[in-house]
Amino acid sequence: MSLVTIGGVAILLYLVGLQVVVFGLGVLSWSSLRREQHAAEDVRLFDMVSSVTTPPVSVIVPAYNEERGIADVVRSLAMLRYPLLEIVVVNDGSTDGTLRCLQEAFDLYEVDMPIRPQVPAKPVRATYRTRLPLPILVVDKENGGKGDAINAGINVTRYPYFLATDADIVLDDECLLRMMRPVAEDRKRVIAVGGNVRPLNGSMIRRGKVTKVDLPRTRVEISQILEYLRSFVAARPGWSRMNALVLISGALGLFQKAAVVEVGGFRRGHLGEDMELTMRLHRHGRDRRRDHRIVYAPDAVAWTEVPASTAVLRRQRIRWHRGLMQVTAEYWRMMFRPRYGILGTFAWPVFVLFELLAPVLELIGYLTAPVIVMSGIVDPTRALALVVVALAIGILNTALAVYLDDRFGHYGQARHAARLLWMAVVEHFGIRQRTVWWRVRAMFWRGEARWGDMGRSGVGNLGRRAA
Amino acid sequence: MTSTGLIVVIAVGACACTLVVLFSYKIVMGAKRRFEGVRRAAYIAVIGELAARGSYPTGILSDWAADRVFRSTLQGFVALVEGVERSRLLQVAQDLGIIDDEVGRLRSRRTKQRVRAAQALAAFGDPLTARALSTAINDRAAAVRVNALAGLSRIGEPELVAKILRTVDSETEWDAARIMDQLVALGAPAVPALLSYLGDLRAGAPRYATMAIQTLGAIGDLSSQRVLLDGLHHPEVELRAASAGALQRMGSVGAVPGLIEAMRDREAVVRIRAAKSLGESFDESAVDALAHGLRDPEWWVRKNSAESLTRLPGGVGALQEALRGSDEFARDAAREQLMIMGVPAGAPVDTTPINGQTDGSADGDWIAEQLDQLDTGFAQRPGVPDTPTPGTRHPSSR
Repeated sequence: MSLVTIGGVAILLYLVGLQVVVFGLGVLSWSSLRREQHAAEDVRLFDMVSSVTTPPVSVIVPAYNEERGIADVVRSLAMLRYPLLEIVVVNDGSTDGTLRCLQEAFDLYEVDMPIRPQVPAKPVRATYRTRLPLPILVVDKENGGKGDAINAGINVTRYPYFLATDADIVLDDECLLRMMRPVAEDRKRVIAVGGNVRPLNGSMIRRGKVTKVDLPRTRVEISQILEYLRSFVAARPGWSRMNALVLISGALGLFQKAAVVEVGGFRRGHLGEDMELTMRLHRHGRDRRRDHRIVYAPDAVAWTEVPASTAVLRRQRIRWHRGLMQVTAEYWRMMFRPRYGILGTFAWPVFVLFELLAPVLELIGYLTAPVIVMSGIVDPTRALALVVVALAIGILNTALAVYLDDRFGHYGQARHAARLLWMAVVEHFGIRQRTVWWRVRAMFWRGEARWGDMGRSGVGNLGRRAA
Repeated sequence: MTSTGLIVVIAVGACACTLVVLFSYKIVMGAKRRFEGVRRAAYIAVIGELAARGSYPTGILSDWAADRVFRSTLQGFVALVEGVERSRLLQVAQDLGIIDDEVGRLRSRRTKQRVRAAQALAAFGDPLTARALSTAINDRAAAVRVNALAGLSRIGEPELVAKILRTVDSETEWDAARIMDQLVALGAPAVPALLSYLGDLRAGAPRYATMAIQTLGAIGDLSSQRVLLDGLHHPEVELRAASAGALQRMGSVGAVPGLIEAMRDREAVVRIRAAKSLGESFDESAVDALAHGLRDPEWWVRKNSAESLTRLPGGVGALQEALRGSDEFARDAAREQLMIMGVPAGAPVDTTPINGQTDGSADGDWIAEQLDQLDTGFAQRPGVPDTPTPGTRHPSSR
């Protein structure tokens, strides 16, 4: 048997394995979502709003050059349905008018605030409070990146839990309440909760709230909606059920402050600081034989702007993949270690194999397939059949994600269904391969991995705004 | 057809069928949701009319009574309104047999059915269902028990509260919290049961003692003051802090000596809450302790003390005195509070006596004593200096 044949068979097995794992996760997510939905219907969730036993939460919003949307985002956070919260906006050395916007919108005045350096962060220049009856605190600090900004926020927060979010995100009214439910159910064990992040593009916003969900116009944006559905709806509920979530999205993550402080806070200057922290929390807890849980709350929904242009999307994907590489380099020792439970023996190896290495193997497959067929090693008809089967399974997995998403009640119109399902088919012809190429570039080319202008229009300027 | 061709046909066929079925499913579900929305809007209008008028054509409503959308809308409406409107809607629910149906479902073998029934009966809060609900608080499903208790709280059945509190320690944290919520809704009649649950705090605390203390605080009944004052001496810091916070709601002069003592607690979190609670007492005798609080090593104690002083007779004078004193922290806290109040820094000092002590420098010994005691305090952790942000003083201080 030639080397090419062995390689071909290996890649075939890899593709089959990938789709089987994705399908298995989809089924497990389906079961988890059903269970979660039933539980959510049974509990008296809204009693939390008026309950004296509900733990207070600090919301940390790191902001770097976000003058276009920061005021709207903070206003929307101030309207969250939660009994006791404080909003800490960290201006991370913005070079635009972010701080001025906040000062004008919220009538800020400078105050002395205690800063307890529990986690490392760049120096704070000033702290501000608002004269409005809102629990808003603004921290102005030197630029240090997102992780550094969140750390600065941690150092000034008062409450035992904090929600780390982005300055371009819109949270549903009950998002925080739903994220805190797992904590309120089991305060001793639950140390972090991830939420369900959805693309905002195309939807209608009124006064900082999403009032009508719609699909964007471009293929670039719709294909990202499918990606988010596959990740947040058809995979994370399954991982969460196994207590093997490897990532709590930096856009929407709730953490027990003491646990984060104990591990040293967010890693500064890291491209995948959210994933790195999640893995560090897992490792720290399991090394000390603590029965900690890092869970996912699918019904806690937030909306974020996704890149609308190919150039911005490319930069984002390259950065994400570099971040994944950094995390893998630091935590590869956790693989196949029973001490880390399902995370170490299954979830983390699967993640590395099917996320980190996928683009390389897929590219090798694309390049070698014609050679294998033309050299007569594999019958062209059989090769075509394999491609068709692999495509069919991929489409079915996306269809499963679209089906699972139906319980959230979004994209319910016929044209939504038609466009999503059509995109589930056509994304395999060009869009997928383009992403593979970007990720391969992230692995083998230097540069392009810095934080840059994401071309955001600001939450207040996005989508089809209500009149 | 070859086997390869067959595989391709099956794959493509399965894929196409799935997409068509899913497309149809999405359309049907979307239409169903829209139809439900239209029905709900119509029902809201009708139920609003029923609540306002009281008379209605029974025949039409009987047809609607079987619709779960109508039931859930009615249920939601009843939970929102009070008084005559509520009585009218309850009458509608009784006339249509909805409440009897729910009582029947409460005996169902299926947990889901029982939970739904308990939720409905909790929303209706019909006194005639008290017996059924009192049986349901022994149900094996926690969701049924909690909802039954919510119904009983709404009806007002305090004697059953003690019964559920006897077993609250075996509930999960979530369910215990929801039970406590219902006790808050029940109000003062729940206090004896809560006090009985807490027992003698000096002898030990039950599992959910902190929640029970928070609940007593939310109810705010004076009869619980003695237990809360005992809680201020409990070895567990969480319980002491909860007690100090709970006394805030009472706003009672009787709690002032205990809270003044709590201002000397070694844990900052207790002092923070005690400072806040003293402000609610509106008692002049708390001014001294709060003036001491302005010099506390913990920022939030200083902040709360300054805020509380503005509520007490002679408190503004104490702030102005602090502004002229030698303590930098006290000056900052006082300055910010006076600025918020709109009192200029150079305004004449309020000469209302603050128990004969106006000179901040005399408190040096007391502060030193506090600093000695604070070996494990919140603000005294190694490497955690509690200094104001450098360069963040208010412009007026420069």
